[in-house]
Amino acid sequence: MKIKDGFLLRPLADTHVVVPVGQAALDLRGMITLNGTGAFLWKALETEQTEQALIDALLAHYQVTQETAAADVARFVELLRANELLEL
Amino acid sequence: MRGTIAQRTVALDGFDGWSHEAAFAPFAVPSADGEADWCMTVRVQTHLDRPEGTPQGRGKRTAWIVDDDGNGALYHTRGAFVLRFDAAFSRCLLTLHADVPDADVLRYVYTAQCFAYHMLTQQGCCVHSAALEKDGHAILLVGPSGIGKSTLATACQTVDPSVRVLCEDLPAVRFEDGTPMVYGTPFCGNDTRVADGAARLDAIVLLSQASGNRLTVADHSAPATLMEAIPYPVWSRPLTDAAIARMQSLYDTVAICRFESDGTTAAGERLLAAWRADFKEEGSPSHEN
Repeated sequence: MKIKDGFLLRPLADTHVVVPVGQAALDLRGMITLNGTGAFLWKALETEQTEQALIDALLAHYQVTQETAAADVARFVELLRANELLEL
Repeated sequence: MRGTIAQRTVALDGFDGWSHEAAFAPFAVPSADGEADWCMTVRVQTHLDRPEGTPQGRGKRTAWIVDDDGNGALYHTRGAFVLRFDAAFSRCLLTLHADVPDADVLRYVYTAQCFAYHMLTQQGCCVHSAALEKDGHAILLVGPSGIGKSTLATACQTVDPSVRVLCEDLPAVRFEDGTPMVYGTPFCGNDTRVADGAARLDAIVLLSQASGNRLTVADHSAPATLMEAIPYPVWSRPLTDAAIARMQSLYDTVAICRFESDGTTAAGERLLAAWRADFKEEGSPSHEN
């Protein structure tokens, strides 16, 4: 899975924003605000990933347990899926 | 059946010296040098057929397409008119159906949109807001139409008559040597109070209605609110990027806070007091009166 094309992820103030451009802007009006972990996962998902790869990336980058990382990835991916932001 | 009914050129030679009287010179003065920095060519056409390829609306006022050459276009969802830009946003083409009820309004709205996009190429941006000026300094009151920007501006002027309104619809912000400067633009809505001039931007106030007056630091939702107020062309990745970059520059250089206003004179007093204190007191979570 990966994020659909047509989104700009940019740091802004003390957060990160995702702004749709091009065709994606027809499907999503507005913007998405992400915290640091969300931005980390979003950036990873700009290329093809599996859930396990995302969990491994989180574990390598953050001091979290396997269970926490797995739960966070599952919740994040589900959120993306529910908003039709993923190419499956 | 098509026919060109007017072709006019706009020359906006920088910001200094703009006046409200000149606001609609774009449609009255056929003078411009095509090489000017601030130049938009507006060609108005009438036609009786809905443009081919006009997309259906998605519940919004406008939709857009982009052609193979990178040119974008905004469409009214009913297909009544279209404004087409060239890739550099130096020209726009406004096409109207013959039965559009108020062409002047449409020209205003869509030329303003084109102007705002062009600003993104000029180290600036436009912000849908009311710009207040006092002693060479300015604040922007940001919020959706009807939220009370004009009411609060009036309250501020009641409290302090030296407060001036630079623009009540689409002021421009341009970064000059890193300093954000606010300018009135030709796009001032219906307001007749607007003053000519420019001022250093001190703060952006995100406005909402309430039964009291409360000023707080901007929270994590502020970027989305602010982005809503900055017109940018969604089909253009570079200019969308430019809009985000301008937002970051604003965050780096001015105070950004939220203000719940009841629209009374007390609201004006509260806001002006915070302005006099450079909004520094708003570092704490909230202040109420």
